[in-house]
Amino acid sequence: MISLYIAKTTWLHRIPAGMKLFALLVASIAILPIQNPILITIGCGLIALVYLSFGRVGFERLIGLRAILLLVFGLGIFQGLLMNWQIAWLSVTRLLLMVMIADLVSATTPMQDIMRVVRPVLLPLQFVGLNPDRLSLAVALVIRYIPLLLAQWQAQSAAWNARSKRRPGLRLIPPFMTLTMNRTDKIADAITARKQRREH
Amino acid sequence: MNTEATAANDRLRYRDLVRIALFAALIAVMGLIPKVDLPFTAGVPITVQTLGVMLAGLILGPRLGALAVLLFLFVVALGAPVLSGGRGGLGVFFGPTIGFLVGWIFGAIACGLIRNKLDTLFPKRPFLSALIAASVGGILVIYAFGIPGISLRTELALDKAAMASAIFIPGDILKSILAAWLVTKIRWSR
Repeated sequence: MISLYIAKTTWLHRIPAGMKLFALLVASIAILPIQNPILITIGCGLIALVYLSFGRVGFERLIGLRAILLLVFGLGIFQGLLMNWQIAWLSVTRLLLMVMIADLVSATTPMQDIMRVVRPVLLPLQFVGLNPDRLSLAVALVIRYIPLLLAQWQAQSAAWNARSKRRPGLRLIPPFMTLTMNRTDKIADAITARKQRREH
Repeated sequence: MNTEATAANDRLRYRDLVRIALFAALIAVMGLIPKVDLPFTAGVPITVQTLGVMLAGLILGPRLGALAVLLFLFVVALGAPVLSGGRGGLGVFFGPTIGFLVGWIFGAIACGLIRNKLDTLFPKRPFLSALIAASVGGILVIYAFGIPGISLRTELALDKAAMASAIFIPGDILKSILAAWLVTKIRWSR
């Protein structure tokens, strides 16, 4: 559930993560000053073709972008009504093009690979106290936490439903927060204990 | 340094790390909650995630709160679809809402700073100081980044970008009240 990554290996998967991220950086700088709506529209079409070259998964992925599509088109209609439709079309397609390119990188690059590329970039941040190992641990903790929190919430609402016919409303939030927050120290203790065992 | 002191030191540092991770995960979980369509927002979805941002700042304080938001955004950038509506990945950072995401970081800082300040000034009014902190940090500051963000990305003039985002403000006011109420309800043994 947790990743936007397409598990099937496509031709774009084989290109190194660093190269893809660099291409994304170049694209974001190059596309911004383009003022020609036809050029941008053609670009969108080309990127859509890249998605379709992955076969069925690519098509499904393109459909999956509709959440952001709706938002962008909503803004576009607003802009068209207030200003003019030409500017609206240009900014909508330009946004769409960038979002599609960036999403392409996310779709074909595993999280660990992005992490590996980003790591050397983050290394200088050690001097302000950001340790890359700790960052990896923190990311892993967040990802592990999400299903844990959902399970705990479900357990608490099941307990409520067993006791009452009324809907819980907001009443379950304070005990949920209190419980999860008081548990953090135990998790920290567990991590400390593991680290010490490794060191001895 | 002897081992006991190192252990105590480690424990303290991991404690903060786990707290940051918890709040980043809370923001993520709020993105998975199905959106509530309230009648007065005319079907415009309101996201609960800013509630998580407010809580991170109010409860963890400015530094750890901002780190929790940063960690959340990092996880989004790595490709987790944890922004409301199942959005995520690098595409989000090129979309029109990027200003709001940047605003979250400073919003959490403002929430923490203002609450700490007001709590020392008026120790008998915890709800009110949390409410002011959540409204200023969680609404004003976030929009102060979000509206120029829309404007920058879409060439919409600032006042028109402000108009486009105004529909979300009623929901945000509700969220700041909820955040302030929660803060007074939670019993946390720091």
